[in-house]
Amino acid sequence: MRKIIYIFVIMLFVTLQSCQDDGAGLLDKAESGDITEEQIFSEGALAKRFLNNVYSRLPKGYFRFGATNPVYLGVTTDEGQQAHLGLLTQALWFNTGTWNAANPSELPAWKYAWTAIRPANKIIENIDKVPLSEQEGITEASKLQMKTEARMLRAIFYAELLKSYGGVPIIKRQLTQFDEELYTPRSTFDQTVDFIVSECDSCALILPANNRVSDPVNFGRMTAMAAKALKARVLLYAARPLFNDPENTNRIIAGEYDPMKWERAAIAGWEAIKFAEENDYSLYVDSDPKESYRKLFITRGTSEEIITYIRSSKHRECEARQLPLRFHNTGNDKGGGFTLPSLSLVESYEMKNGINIYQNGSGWDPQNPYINRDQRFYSSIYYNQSKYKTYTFEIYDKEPGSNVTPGVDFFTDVVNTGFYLRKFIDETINPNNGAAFHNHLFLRYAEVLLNYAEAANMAFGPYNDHFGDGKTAKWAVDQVRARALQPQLPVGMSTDSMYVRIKNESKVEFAFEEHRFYDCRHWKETKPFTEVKLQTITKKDNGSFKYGEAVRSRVFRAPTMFLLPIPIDDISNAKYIQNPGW
Amino acid sequence: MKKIFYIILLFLFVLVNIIQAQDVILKGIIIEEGTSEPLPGVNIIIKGANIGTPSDLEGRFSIKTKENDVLVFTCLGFQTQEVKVGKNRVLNIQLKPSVSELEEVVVVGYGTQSKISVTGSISTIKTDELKQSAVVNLSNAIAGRVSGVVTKMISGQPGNDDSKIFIRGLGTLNDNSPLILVDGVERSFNQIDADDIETFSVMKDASATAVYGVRGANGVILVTTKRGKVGKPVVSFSIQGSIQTPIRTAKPLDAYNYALLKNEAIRNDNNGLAPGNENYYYSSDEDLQHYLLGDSPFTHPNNNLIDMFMSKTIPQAQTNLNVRGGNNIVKYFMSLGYLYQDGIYKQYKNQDYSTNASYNRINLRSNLDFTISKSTEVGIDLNSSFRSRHNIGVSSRFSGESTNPEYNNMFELLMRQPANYSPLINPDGTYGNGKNATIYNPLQIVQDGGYYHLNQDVLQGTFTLNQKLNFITKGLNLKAMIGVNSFLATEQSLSERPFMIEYDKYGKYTNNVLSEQLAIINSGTDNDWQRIYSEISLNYSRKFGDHAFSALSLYNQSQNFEKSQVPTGYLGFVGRATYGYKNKYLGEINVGYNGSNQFAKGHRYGLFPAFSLGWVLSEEGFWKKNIKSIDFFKFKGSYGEVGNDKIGGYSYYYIQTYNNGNANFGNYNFGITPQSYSGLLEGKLGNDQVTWERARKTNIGLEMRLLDGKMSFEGNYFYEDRRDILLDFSSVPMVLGIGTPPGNIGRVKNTGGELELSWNDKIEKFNYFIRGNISCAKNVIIENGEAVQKYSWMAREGQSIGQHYGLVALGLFMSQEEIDQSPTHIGNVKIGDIKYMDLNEDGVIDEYDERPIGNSNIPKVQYGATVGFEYKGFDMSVLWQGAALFDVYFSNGAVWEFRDGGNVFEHHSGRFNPEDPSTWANATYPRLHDGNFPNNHRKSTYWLKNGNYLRLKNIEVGYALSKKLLSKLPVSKLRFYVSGTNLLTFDNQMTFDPETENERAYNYPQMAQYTLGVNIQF
Repeated sequence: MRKIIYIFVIMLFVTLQSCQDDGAGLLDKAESGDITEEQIFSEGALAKRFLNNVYSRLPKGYFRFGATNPVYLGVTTDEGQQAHLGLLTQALWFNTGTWNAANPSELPAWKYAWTAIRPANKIIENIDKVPLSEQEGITEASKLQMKTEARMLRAIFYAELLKSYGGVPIIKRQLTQFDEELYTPRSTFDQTVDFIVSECDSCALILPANNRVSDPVNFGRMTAMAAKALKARVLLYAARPLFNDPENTNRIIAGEYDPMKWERAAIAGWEAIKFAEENDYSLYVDSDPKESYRKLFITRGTSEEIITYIRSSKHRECEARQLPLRFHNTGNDKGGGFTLPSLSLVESYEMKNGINIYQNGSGWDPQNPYINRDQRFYSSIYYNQSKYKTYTFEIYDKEPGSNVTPGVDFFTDVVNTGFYLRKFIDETINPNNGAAFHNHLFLRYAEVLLNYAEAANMAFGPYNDHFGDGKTAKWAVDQVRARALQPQLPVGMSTDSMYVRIKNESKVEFAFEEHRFYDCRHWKETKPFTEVKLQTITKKDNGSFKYGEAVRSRVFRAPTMFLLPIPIDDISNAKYIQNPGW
Repeated sequence: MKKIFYIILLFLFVLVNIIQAQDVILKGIIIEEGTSEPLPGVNIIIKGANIGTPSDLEGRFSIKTKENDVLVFTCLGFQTQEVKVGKNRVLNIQLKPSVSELEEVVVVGYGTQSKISVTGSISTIKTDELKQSAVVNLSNAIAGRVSGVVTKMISGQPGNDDSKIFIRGLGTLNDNSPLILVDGVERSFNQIDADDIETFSVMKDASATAVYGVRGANGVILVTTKRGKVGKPVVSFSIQGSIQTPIRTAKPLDAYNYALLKNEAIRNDNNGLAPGNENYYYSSDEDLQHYLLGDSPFTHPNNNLIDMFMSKTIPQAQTNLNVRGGNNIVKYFMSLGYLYQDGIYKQYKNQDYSTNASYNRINLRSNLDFTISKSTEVGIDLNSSFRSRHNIGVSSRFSGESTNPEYNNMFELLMRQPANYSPLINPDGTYGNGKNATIYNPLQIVQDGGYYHLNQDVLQGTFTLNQKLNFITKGLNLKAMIGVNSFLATEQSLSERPFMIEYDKYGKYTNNVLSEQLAIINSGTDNDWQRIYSEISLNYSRKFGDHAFSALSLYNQSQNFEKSQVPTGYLGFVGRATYGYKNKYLGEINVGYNGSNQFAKGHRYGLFPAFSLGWVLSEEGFWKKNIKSIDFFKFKGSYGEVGNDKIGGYSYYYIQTYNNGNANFGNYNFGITPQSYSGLLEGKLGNDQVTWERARKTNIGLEMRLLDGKMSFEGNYFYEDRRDILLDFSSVPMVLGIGTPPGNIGRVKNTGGELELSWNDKIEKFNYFIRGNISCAKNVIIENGEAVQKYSWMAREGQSIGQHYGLVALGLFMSQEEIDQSPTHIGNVKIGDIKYMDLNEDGVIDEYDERPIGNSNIPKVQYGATVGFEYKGFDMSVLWQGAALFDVYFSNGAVWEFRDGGNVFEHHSGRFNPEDPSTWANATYPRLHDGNFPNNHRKSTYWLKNGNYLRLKNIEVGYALSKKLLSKLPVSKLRFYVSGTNLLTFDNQMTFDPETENERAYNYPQMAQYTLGVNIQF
């Protein structure tokens, strides 16, 4: 028995002996060169790199939906149509009304914005910790500059949330996964607007006015102009019918009804215009005025850019995705042209004389529909018999009963709209292997003008010179029209008919720039989401074309779909109030 | 009178002997009962004296004894015999082979135990069974042979055909793979030569696995390799040749039928109209005529790619030479194995290199045991394996698929390239290609497409020291071990692409398709890692009368070093105590205490205890008196906790780190002349609370042997509650703005049982046996951290792991009226498209209507049965194996028509043709679409197939030459055999093997195999 006790003592001893060691060394993670939380704000260079991360999350524009064969956000409005219905993009879900809180995976506005707000908050909270360093260019001033850039970027992402969802929780610091603040309820719509506006106001005092001129290597960073323009944009959103609705008492998705909100927006817009004029911002004009609008999108660093997502490199995505297959070897075997402009868009381009095509006196010929149109039409749209380089577009079917061969750019297995999208295409490159600049103009001066026009028209009327400097609503629209070589708007219109003209101007000017998807919602217009018109073109034996139209209907449930649904998971996790109807 | 005298003399003699109690030298020979075979290496011990000697090569022994000593003869595989010395000076002993399983010893964690005293749940496979299937990869030999194990053989690619193995089904939402130890060190067993294996055991319950602590929750497989035995060298040689043939290959339609269906699909998508223009893909009547007649093979090819490129008979050869023996100083087992497996592609001429898949393997093993002194033994094991795997080049890519050569997209290409796609060789001698720029030409791939070659070198060494500490107390033993594993994989690939040119059906050349790429050779290290394992243990085992007692105390540590990874480390303490009273009442305590460097300080250690009890009723007096037919009856039960730390290797979840930005996120550009600036991204948050999963396991079992051991039965019921499963917090609001680290939030319950039944008997010289086993396991997710779902049927909680989710198909739309009255489906739905159930009745078919459909993808039931006999040197065995209660989902190019420019198959012939009402009622496939059609091509019950299968897994017939015949030959054993593997499969799949897992089904096919072999022993 004694021996057994001895044995146990020995065994215990062996065990304890090895236990004492605690396995330190063996169980410690080896040095791996990873950057850790402590390091990031102890070196200026690392902090700067972290700020780049926030910039990189600015909306990139262009291809919203689909991975290999993507389409634009515009195909979910009457701007255009996804050509290949066989490609299962999120756009199909939108157009068939089958999107919901469980599936907006490819329009990740919610998650995406929070992913950008977090690093911004992290910088705002911690940048003061960064030690000053002459070598790394870290001064008190540069730290303040970085902090303010982060605040301005954060304001942009809150504005993105606002336009899609209404009021959102306002989180001003970086959270841990156990933070109570994660469950902050949604702020009211007005609180969210106020937060963005006050951030813009403070940032405008600190940021440089125009670094394109003063500091060209830092072009692309946040400016005071960006702050002023964003403020005007957000105040305009707040004044629009969806969010400023006497009938709506849901304060999370709509503000306190106040017709004076138009005036507030108009003043902010006027201030932005003044600031722009004083600081060298203007509409871009090319040496060939006819080319101004087209070249705006393929020229870098124009005077019109206020907030731009600067792409890391040149690419040919627009060329390869917008042109039919015969011009390149990229993508689906049935031809490119995934995003096709619609007749609903094309009919909005006025005649050169400034008159809507369907109006008396326009001089428009339905069987010769593409002559004498707004210059922006030619800059944005490829139509039947127009040219890409030396090639002619042949977008027609054969007239039934004729012996004609359908055109090479007409496909039997896609939705032919009758058009291809020219906007954004750089025709000087080879779509097979070339590359061009395609930066997304997230906020440009033309928008500042039209935003002001919309607010001023509603606040003061179309022709009322409220500020005494001639900057009426009409004046602002005419600025944009002048660059497009369109005549000035007529006098004598009512506020309502002016509103129609401004909306149309916006539709034409910003086609496929991701505005209409939100604007029409804010205007509570449903037609842009329920139907899209297509041009039908057939060729007769005698070589002439016959133009007609067809309508594709889409599913849209108003008012539910005016706002996007907050993802279902967050509704159940954070108990947010869901937008009505979802 | 004479008799009386003799008796007195005898008495005297005895008396004198007793008085003198003289030492006598006892000599003898030990032979196997019923034969004249001498038995070397039998241990002869004087009972109670701890003095002993082994028998020599001729079975002779000599030992100093006293007359009243008792000698104990023990030898593995034979019944222990006790003989009183008495007056004998010469003893000829015959040892009976142990037929009774009572004598059997089983391998347990860090040791062995007699089978009778085991209270945990352990199953073993006999090594000759492992050899039977003539498989190359041992993981493929265990299906159906052992209870409690689920296997799934995903692919048949030579050298890349590991089966997935799950012990007692699935218990966690993370990695479910068991811990595998070979000779006590964590090593893979897949590529070990079957001839080298001594034991194969599967540890299932907490009692058996608790000693592995944090690594035991998924079960443990212990493999030991053969070691030397005292005796003259026995040389064994085996050689076998096999022919393999794919069990199933895809059945694409020929060019004519392809064109017919393509036309139909185009018309379907085009409102019933033929396209007005000259559509490349639309075949005119004239085209169809050419396809039918095959009279214009260049413009209208009809390539049967499967037949052209896939061979039906693939040779394989395997041989092993080993020698086993030993003496009092050294015992040895040395083995050399070689394997060659050919690939499936038919060979086309290439002067420079082979493109065919193949696999070569050389295994070398040397296990040496040195007896240094009476109390000290040293073991030195060396094992190396050199494997090389060859395959076609990387350019066998099919549109949109991965470029990873190991995906073997060649199969996808052969399966999915339409028969009329293009001529393989154009009239001008160039390689052909079609319109779709991303599809390659299979002929070019096998002739000039390059190759992929992988060399894997495995070196393993184990050094063991065994020191008896009898000077402290009897039965105490010290063991120390160091094991080193080293793995190096180097790869070489050659990719090239000769010019390919489109030659279309109009006889026109278009040279814009794929440009030439010159040969590029790449080589590098694919992977390399080292593992160093060491352990030191004290073992104590002794009997005091009726009380048997054993204890184990062990410390181990291991470190892994893997290419470009931070090294990981484990350490563990193991304790075990067992007690048995008269082999009647058994008790056991097992404890594992582990540390892992994957966790933050303070969370690194965990204690995993297990308890088990056994009661052998048949040892009770009342049983022995009353129940004669049941020889052995044991109840056993265990309860304990075991851990699982397979939470994604090298993930230090407790630390948050920052990553470099990329072109999409992080990096950004500033400046009118843009200048790129690198960015930093915040990695997942750290969670310093992260620790391992913990399983609470209960096992209740019953063992029986009946009718003199002819029949045996074992049944086990288990219940497992796995907690703290590491999962991402999906319930953290996205407002956080970053990925959350995983937390120990998941919980899964797993219950099931196993039955094993066997019958051995003989009718005169006809020996036969029947063995069967069935296992079932069903798991339920109790908690997975998911958000509360909008509709109850969307929840994953309450369902099984791997449960399929999808829409419920209600059949095909038969009329426009039906479509109009139905909820909104996606896309331009017409008659012949799939109709779905609108679960939430909101008038729209969407994600909210997806619910659990069918079973999960892992079988809930797996079973196997073997029947065999032996008669006059002939032997035969048949293994049936099957699985049930699981569903298989195939999608994309494997099933759907014209997917991504792909093919149509036999099963598309049964489609719903809107133009032909006679097809409507009995359509087995929806209306065809030229390309992807979102409504039909999504996961639903329509595409789910019952996975149940029953397989004739193996038949082996052998003949061993009788001793009589052999006496004229210089061999001691000679056996010929033929065997067949995967001979028949009964299931519900159309094209693919039920074990295939990939939804796209582009795996190398599973193989049936026919083998002829011979074993010779000298």
